Amino acid sequence: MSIKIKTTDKLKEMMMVYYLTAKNARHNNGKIAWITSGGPVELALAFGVTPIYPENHGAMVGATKMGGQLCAVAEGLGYSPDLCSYFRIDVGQAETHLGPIAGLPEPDVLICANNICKTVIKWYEIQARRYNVPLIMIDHPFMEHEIEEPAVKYVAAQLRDMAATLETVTGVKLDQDKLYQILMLSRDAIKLWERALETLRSKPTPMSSIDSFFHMAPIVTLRGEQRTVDYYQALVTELEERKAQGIAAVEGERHRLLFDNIPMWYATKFLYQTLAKHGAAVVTSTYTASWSMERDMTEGDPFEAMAWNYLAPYINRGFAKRLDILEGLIHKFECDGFLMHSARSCKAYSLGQYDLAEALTKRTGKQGVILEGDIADERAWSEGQAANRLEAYLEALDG
Amino acid sequence: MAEFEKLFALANAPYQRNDKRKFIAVFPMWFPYEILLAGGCRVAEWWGYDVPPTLADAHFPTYICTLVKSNFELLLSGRSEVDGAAFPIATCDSIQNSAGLFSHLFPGKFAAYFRMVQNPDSASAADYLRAEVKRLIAEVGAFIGRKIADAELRAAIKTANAFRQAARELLLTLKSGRTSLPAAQIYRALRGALTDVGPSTTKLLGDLTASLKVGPASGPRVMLVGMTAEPLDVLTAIEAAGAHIAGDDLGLGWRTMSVDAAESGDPAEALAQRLLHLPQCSSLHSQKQARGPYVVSRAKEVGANAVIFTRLKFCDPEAFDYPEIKCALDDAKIPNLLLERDLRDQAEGAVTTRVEAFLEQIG
Repeated sequence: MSIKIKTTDKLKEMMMVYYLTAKNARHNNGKIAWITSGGPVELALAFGVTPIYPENHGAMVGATKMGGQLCAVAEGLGYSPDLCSYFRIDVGQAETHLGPIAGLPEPDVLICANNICKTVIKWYEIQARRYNVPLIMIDHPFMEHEIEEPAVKYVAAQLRDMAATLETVTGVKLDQDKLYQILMLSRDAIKLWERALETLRSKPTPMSSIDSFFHMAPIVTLRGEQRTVDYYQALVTELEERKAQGIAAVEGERHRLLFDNIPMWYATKFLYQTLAKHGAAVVTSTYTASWSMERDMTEGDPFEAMAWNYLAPYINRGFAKRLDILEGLIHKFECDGFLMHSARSCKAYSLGQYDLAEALTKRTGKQGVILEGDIADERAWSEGQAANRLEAYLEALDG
Repeated sequence: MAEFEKLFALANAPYQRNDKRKFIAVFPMWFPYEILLAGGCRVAEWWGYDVPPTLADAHFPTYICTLVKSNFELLLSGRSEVDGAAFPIATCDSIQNSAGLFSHLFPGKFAAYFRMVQNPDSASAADYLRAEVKRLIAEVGAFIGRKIADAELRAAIKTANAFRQAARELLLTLKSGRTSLPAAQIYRALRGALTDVGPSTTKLLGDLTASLKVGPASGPRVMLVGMTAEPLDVLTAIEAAGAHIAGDDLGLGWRTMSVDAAESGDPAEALAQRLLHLPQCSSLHSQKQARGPYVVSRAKEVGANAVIFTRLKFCDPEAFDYPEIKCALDDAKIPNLLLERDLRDQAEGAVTTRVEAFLEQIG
C-alpha cells in the first residue's frame, strides 16, 4: 500500500472552497465567466470575474460516474452520443442542475479558446445562446509545426478585444498593474507545477501521473491566484521530501510509463490498481504537461506573451510536433513504455494515435498499448476488455 | 454516351490521373483551391467514397467519419496517383489532425493546409486571413517550383467562379421542378465535377444543365441538410415516394458553390474576402447569426415544405448544429427527419421505410 500524498487533502478543500465561492458569486454581485481550459484566465481575473471551467466540472462528473446520466439528458435533446462527453455533461447539468455540486452557476459571459479542439467553439456558441450572454471567442490557429508570428499577432489582437468586451461586461477598466500581478502569480504557479512534475523523474517516482491528473485541477482552474502558488509550493515540498525519503507512488516500481490523452476519469482507480499490480507507474503525460509556459508573460507585451503560450499546448500542434514531444517525454522520464487512451469524445487528441504509437516505438524502442474509452461517459468503457489488453501488455513488459 | 456522362465516370474513379498536371486531393471544405489552380494543379475535392476502409482502419479509430477514412483508403490503397493533398483544417478536428498524419504517411508528397479563421467577427480576422492566403500562395509556389503571379491567381479565380456558377445553375434546376434526370444523378455529377475543378468540367456541368428537361413537381418539396447527401440511395427513395428534392444546404451542394470571389483587384484580398463572406456552415463560426434561422430561410428560398438531414455518422460539426436547427424548423412548422448514416451504409431498406413513413405523414 503506497503512502498517501498529504497535500491531496488541501486540494479537496481548495476545490470545495472554489466551487462554493463560485456558487455564491452572484449573491456577492460578482460576475461569472465560463472559460475553456486553454483560455486566457489571467486576463479574465484582472477584471475580477470568477472563472468557471465546465471541462473541470465534466472531469469531476466523470470521476463520480455521473457522466452517463448527464450525457443521456443531452442526448434526449437531440445531441448525438458521439459528441464530446464534457459538452453533453454541460448540457445535462444546465438542464437538470444535477451532479456532484448540483450544477454550475450560470455565466455572465463565456470565454472560449479553441487551442484545445473545435468542439469548444460549438459548445460555447450553444451555451451562449442558451444563457443569452456574450461569447468572447479567441481563435487560436492550429500550429502544425512551429509557432508562427502572424498567429501570435492575431491571437494578441483578439486578447485586446477580449479586454474591451470584459470592460463592458464588468464595468471595470483594465488595470495593467493588476494584470501584471496576476501574470506573475500564474507564472509562479506554472513553474511550481512544472517542478512538481519534474520530481516524477525520480526512481521510484514519488507521485503517479494518475495522481497528478487530480493535482492539476488548480493549475487549470485557479492559476493567477496566490492560493494556487501556495498550494503548489506545498505539493513540491512534499514531493521533494518523498523523493528524499524514497517514498514510492507504486511500491516495487519496475515499469515507468507515459500516458497520452485525457484520462478516463471514471476508471482512474482501476488504472492505478491494474498497473500497480505489475509494479508499473505512470510517470509523465502529455495532458498534465499541457499547462506550461515557454514565454514569461511578465516580460514584454503581456498580450503577445499570452498569445504565444496559449498557441503552444500539445493538442494545438501537428503530428510531427506531437511525436517530438512524446519522444522527449519518454527519454526525459526514462519510460519503459506508454499507454494511450483513444478517447471517443476527443478526436482532436485521439486521431493520429495509432501512427504516433508506431512511430514512437520505432524512435524509442518502447512498446505501448492503446485503450479505447471515453473521458467522462462511463457507458463507452468496457473494463473487462481494457483489463485484458492492459494485463497482456504488462505481462509482456514483465517479460 | 452523352458528354456529361464523363462526370459520372469521374465520380466513380476520383483517383485516376488523366494528364500531366500535378494532382492534389483536396479535403472538404472551404480550401481556397483557386491557389492550386493558379499553380496549374488539378484540384480534386474528395468528399469520401463507398470503399471498405480496409487499410485506413489501421490508422483511424472506429469513431472517425467515413469521409475522412475513405479518402485515406484511396490514398493508402495505391489506387490514387495524387501528388499531394490539401487540408482546410478548420473543418473539424478529424481533418485538422489528418494534415500531419498525411505528411507522416506520405513523406514525399506535398501537404498543404489552410487555417480558415474561426472568429470572423474579430477586427483582426481579415489581416490574419490575408496573411494565411499569402502563406499558402508561397507554399504552392515552392511546390510547383516558381512564383505564382497575380494574373494567374486572377485567372484561377475566374475559373473557379465559372465552375461554381455552372454548379449553381445545375442545382437551381431542382428548385424549378422535376428534372428529367433523378436528383441522385445530379449530385453524383457534381461530385464528379469536383474531382477536376476547371473549364472542362464547367462545360460538362453546363451541358448537363442544358440537357435537362424540367417538368412540374408534385408532392412534398424536400430540402437536404448536411455535409453530403451520400449514400445517394436516400435521394432515390425520396423521389420514389413521390416527393421532390427542391434544393439543399449541403457542403457537397449549394453551400460551397454559393459565393464567388472578386475577379479584379488584389487576388489574395479577393480570396480572403470571399472566405469572410461565406454562408452559414457548421464548420464556420460567427456570433452574428445562428444556423437554425438560416436553414429556415434557405428552406423558404427553395420553397421546401420538409427538410431531411443527411448526416454522416461521427460528423461533429453537423451533429452540434442539429438540435437547434431542428427547433428552428419545428417553430417554423417545417417537418423534418434526421438520417444518420455512413458512406458504406447498406441499410437502404430501412432508410426507404423511414423516408416513406415521413413523407406519408406530411402528405
